[in-house]
Amino acid sequence: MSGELLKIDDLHVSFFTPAGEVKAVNGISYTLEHGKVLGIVGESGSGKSVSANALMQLIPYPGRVTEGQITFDEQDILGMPIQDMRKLRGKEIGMIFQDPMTSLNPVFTIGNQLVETLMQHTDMTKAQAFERGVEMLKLVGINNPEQRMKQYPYEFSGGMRQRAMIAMTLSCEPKLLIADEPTTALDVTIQAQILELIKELKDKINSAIILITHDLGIISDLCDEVIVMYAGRIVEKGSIDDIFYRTAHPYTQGLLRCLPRLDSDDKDPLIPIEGTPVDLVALPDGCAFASRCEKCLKLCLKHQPELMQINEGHTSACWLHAIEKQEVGA
Amino acid sequence: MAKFIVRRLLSAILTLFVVATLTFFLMNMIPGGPFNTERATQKQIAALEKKYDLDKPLFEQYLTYMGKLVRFDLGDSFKRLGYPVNKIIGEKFPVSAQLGVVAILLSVIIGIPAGTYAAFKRNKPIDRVLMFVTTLGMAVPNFVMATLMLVLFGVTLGWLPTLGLSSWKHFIMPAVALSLNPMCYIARLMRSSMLDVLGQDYIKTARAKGLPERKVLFKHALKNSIVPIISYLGPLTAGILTGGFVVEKIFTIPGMGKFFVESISNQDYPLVMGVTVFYAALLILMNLIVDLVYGVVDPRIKYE
Ligand SMILES: Nc1ncnc2c1ncn2[C@@H]1O[C@H](COP(=O)(O)OP(=O)(O)O)[C@@H](O)[C@H]1O
Ligand SMILES: [Mg+2]
Repeated sequence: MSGELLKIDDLHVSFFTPAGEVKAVNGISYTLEHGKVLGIVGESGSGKSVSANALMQLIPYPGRVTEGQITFDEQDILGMPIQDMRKLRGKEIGMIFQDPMTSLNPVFTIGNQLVETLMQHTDMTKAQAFERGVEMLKLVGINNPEQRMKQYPYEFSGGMRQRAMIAMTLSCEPKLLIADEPTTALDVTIQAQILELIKELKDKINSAIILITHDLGIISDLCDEVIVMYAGRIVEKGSIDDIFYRTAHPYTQGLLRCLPRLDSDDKDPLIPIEGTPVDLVALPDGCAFASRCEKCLKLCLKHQPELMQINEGHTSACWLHAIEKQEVGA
Repeated sequence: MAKFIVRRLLSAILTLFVVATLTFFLMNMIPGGPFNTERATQKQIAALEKKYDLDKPLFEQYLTYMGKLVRFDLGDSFKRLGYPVNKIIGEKFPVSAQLGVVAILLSVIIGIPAGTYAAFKRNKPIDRVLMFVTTLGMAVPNFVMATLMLVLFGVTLGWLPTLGLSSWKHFIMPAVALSLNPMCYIARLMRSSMLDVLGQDYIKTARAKGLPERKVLFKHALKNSIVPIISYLGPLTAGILTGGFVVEKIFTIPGMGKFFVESISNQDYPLVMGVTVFYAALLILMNLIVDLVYGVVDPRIKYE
């Protein structure tokens, strides 16, 4: 399959809190093709989860989409009545979350939660759904699946729970899988296993995947395209190579400096980005990253840079590019 | 599990022993005696006290009482001469319990959905109204409610009978009066517990799976948020089953509530002891049931 599966156009999401309007997502646009993997990276609080939740109309109270359009499989997501949305949730769009210790309901068995999903979206009988559940657990590498179906989440380790979550989410063969920091809460070794599993499954299920993470390191061998977010905006977008080797935006450069490198010894210090993320209630007129940017210009404080083309398929929102371009042109 | 229950029963016996002992000595420390209030002569009082062994040393009386207690004999009432306390409880408790069960069902059946609904509609007008009404409902003492209903529905409108418990219609007013406070409390408890649970990740998972809201609320959220209600139901049940004194009095219901109060003002020692030990036993039993129900609700709870 090819062609466009998802198109997000100028999405804005705000939370209307007593402290003011928290502008969590401020005009992001991207498209995703069938079967492709999109990585979304950014520090925590940059609006990754909120923008992903919007795809399922799952923005929690007191949040609301204030502007923009989301088209999934030629359907208008935001204008869709909730009943229709529920038919997409879990069936066409599946979502797995950060913390597998809390994202499964502690008082129902794994089997119950798997069967429930299947019975909601297919006309399988309970027995058929159970069979399918067992198959799915086997697929994600859980031993003794029949027995495991009858166990409760507390009887699973963190990694096993995340496997079960993945099994549940993929059981209805969604066209889009959203994985919101699926490994952040896990040990490093387990993280690698889960990522390996997602990579393996990616080829078997041919869903498109949105992989959200704050750790650029983990997505390098999974994603076709990467979006870097800061303060609810896309600051850079490109292929893995664009992001890693032809890095354009100072924020992305900062993120990369935070990563341990294979080709350096441990003595090289990891450099965190200085400063704290911007206040989303009072966003500056200029670039939101300006106050933390080493290369900040006067211009950056006053005017918001738009995404500019760097290369084919590689864009970045930084005034430096405009200046460079002008110099090259002159 | 069996081991757990046996252990709990052993600790229950110990608790009852302590309760009985404390009550016995405290009761005897209250000035006066069971026969002093009546217009009896010194001589008559002495004779009565002798008859009931009240002239013996206190510790000896205590041993005699405990000896009977272990054989489930609560002795005879002093006030209603020759009337065994066992018989009083046996006759009056079922009356109170009947009414109590209706009142508890009423508070649970209305309180839980109301609280759930309020949580679901958080900060919307209907939630505000429910919270206002329940605050009011918790503040109004049950005898005020009982009296108001009695006057309005019983006397003025004449819709409902006001005396006793002889038909289902008789249950309406006393049960509503008894259930008002706990119902409102349950609704509020349920709301806050539900709000807490609705913020949990597994609720987001349930919604992301495409489950209808009804299933999210009444399957995924309810089972998790019901735990505080279960804890509250233990002591509540013990309290309500043994009778609301004032409500029973207002509607002339021959229940146990009256004996709780009168036994103390009359210093009817065996009756005080009897109802106290009985109430304590009921409370312990209810708490044991609560602990067992926890296990049904939450699989993580193990009985060891
Ligand atoms: N329930 C909420 N109420 C108020 N603000 C929220 C809520 N959820 C998220 N936000 C705001 O949205 C911002 C982005 O959140 P999120 O998308 O979860 O970040 P992340 O990139 O770490 O996933 C947060 O910094 C926060 O200010
Ligand atoms: Mg997040």
